[in-house]
Amino acid sequence: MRIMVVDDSPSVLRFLRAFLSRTGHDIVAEAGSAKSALEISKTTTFDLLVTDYILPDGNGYQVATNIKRNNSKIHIIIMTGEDSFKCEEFPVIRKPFDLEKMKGIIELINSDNQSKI
Amino acid sequence: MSTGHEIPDIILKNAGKILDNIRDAVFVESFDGVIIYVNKAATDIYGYSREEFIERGIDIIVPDEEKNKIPYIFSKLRDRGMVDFEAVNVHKDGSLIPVEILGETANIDGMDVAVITLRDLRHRKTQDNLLKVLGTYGWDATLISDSDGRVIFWNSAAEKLFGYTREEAMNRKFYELIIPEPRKFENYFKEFQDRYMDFEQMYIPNNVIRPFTRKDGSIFMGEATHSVIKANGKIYGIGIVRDISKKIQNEIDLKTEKEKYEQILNNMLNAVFIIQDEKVVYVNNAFCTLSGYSVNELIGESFLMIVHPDEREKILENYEKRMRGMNVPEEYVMKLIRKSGEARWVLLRASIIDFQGKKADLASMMDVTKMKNIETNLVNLEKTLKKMEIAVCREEMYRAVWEMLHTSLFIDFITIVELHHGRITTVDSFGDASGILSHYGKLEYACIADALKYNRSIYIPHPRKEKRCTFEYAPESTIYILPIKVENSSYGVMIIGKHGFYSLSREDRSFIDLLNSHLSLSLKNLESVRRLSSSKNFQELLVRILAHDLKTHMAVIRGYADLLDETPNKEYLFEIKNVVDNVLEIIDKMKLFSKLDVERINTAKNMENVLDLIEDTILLVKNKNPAAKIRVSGENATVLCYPTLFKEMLYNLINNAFTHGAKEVSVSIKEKEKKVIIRVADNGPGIPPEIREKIFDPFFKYKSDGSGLGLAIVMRIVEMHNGKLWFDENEPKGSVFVIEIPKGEQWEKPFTLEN
Repeated sequence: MRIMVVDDSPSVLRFLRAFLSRTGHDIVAEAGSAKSALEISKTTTFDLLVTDYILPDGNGYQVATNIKRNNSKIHIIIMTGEDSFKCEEFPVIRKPFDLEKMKGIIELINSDNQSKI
Repeated sequence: MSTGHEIPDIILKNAGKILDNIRDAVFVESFDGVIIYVNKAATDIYGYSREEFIERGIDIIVPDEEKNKIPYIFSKLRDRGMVDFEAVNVHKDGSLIPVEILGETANIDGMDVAVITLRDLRHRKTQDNLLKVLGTYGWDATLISDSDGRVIFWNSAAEKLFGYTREEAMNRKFYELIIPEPRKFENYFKEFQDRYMDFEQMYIPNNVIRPFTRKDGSIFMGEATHSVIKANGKIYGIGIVRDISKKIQNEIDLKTEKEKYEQILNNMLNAVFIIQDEKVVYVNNAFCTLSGYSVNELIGESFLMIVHPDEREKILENYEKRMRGMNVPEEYVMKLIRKSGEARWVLLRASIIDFQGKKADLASMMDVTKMKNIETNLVNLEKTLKKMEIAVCREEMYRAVWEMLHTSLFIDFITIVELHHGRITTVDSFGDASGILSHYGKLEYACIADALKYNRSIYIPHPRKEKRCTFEYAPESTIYILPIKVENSSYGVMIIGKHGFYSLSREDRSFIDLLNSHLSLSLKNLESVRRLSSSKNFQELLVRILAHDLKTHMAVIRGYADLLDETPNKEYLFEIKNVVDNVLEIIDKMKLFSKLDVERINTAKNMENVLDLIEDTILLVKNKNPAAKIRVSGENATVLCYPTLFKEMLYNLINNAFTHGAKEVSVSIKEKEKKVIIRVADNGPGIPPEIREKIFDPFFKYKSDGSGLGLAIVMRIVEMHNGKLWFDENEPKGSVFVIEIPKGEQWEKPFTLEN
């Protein structure tokens, strides 16, 4: 499965790269802002978007709905450190990361993705 | 011929009394600036007596900063014979009064005078709007219904006209009381209400002439004005009915029967025509105006020639059914085609009459193109609002507004001006704003400042007689300036323009206002996410940011720890150390920043050599990052400064460049007019335009694991040295930060935050 990661913190990006590569998936794109995420999404194909909620020029929810509008098949995971953030449309991973939970969600998405193909 | 504008003697004799009963302030002033007359409302609204007004002139109600606009307004009034605008006036006690101003010229005893009417807008609330409507139409039967048509207001004129007392009428459906065929009307009413359900602020009066019924069952012809308003989220209908059967009767008495009908029909505003055997046999003047054909061109022709080709089949079917006595809608909207080929939407009402012994179809039409456009606009509006809701940056929102207004109201340009750090900058421009905003005209500039200051919108219509305008500056377009608000403060202004002589009607403007209020809402949502930094409560902010940033860093450390549990990996350990260093740096910066914010600096300023300070700083940078390439050039200048803070400032700028991907940084020093200018230039990736205004905000981060305080600290230190800091683009790539600090002299007193 091809994954795009959006976070404005380089260390989080590096960590997710380390973690996700161990689950056997490819990180095909990375972005540090809402605007660049949207630009990259226009030219790159991916199956899953993992995005932080707070971005320097917007928020991850807006990025997710925007990308979803252009391609409804893309799966979304939103990461957040804000306890107050609630979202019913997309799975939410709270910080500190529960890696087992994240793995579980990704595997669920992956099998869903496989069955569609 | 009687114009209908002649005023009966009795009214003229009592003009003074009548003027004093008006709620609007009325001034009559000669063009030499002498006040001739002031009514009572003017004294009530502004708190001055008549004597004070006559002695001191109308200028006293104009705020000082706007007094210079008075000659312009008078010259405009003189040129056009009429001015109409909104402004803010001052009460005798100094309080501000928003007013709507209407100025007209008149001639009294051979002298040209200005008649100025001012309406106090302080109480422009729905309740008062209702009262205004009722006040205006107090002599006519007036009723207000809720969205189900139930009467909630019934004035005494209505009691008289319809025969129902207020108690009898209350809570009953108005159409069951006053419309001859209430069941038929019910459907029409529902459709009408649905159409306005989603509207806000819109007020569209509509005139019809139709039969009404009284309590005793008698029927009369009435002229009705009905409109819809929205208040507290509910819809209300207002209807005003005037009995015109007497008027018709009077006119009938005057002339022979044939002439009478012709005169009545010709004087009607609604287009009327009669069709017999599919041919037009009668048309009135209004119909000729609407269709663009003359009477001779129409009589004897098939009525289908004025029906738009898209609709001919449907209309013909309706006509045939009606002629055969079948049930067809009495009223419907159809598309008409004018002689010029232009399409118009009309509301058509048809019924069967006996004309010269044979069955004929009598139809009347009203032009509803505007309403139809509003409907289309509504559909577009929904799309636009959706676009704004999911926009990720302001530019996208502004673009949605532009697309909407450009296609629906044919707006030629929109320029967005935002207010940042006390400066007005153009951030976005759509369409062709050339000639208007290449440099702001004096008037526009004043209006932008006004819009920002008073949080209100300003409309500048195109001066129709441009060449006669005596004022030094005249706009070349119709311009509508409105503040962009986020919460309650002005964020910037939107300048909307239409080239040429075209104007923006009140409806157009309320539509724009509606869009603008949605823009504010969307901006607020966007802002609340990112502008944590503008919060005034520093403590609360500090805790929030600390919690958020530390949580993120700890999440990464924890994550690596989990990974290490499975497989030992040196890289992970290295990453953990890195993150810990970041956290330590955040703590240091936070401490420094809060000191700069609240504590007095106790050390004194000193005359220091800038080059020495830079060399010291470079040592600090290289300590942490031995590979850093830094070049220094420039003059040997001295500056009065706090050495430690000065070095901190330079350190932050240089270090910032390296953390954001620069390979090389060059620092240059220059002395100019008692100022020292330091440029810190890098060859990094530069700063994307969409985040440029925010880089100096505390806690703003972009692709960084730092504190988000670096540039905020730099800005604060520069301010403590009474200097300036700005950002430029570097050639061919990268950024340049420029610091300009007064050289100062040694004898200056120690700086404290108090002075």
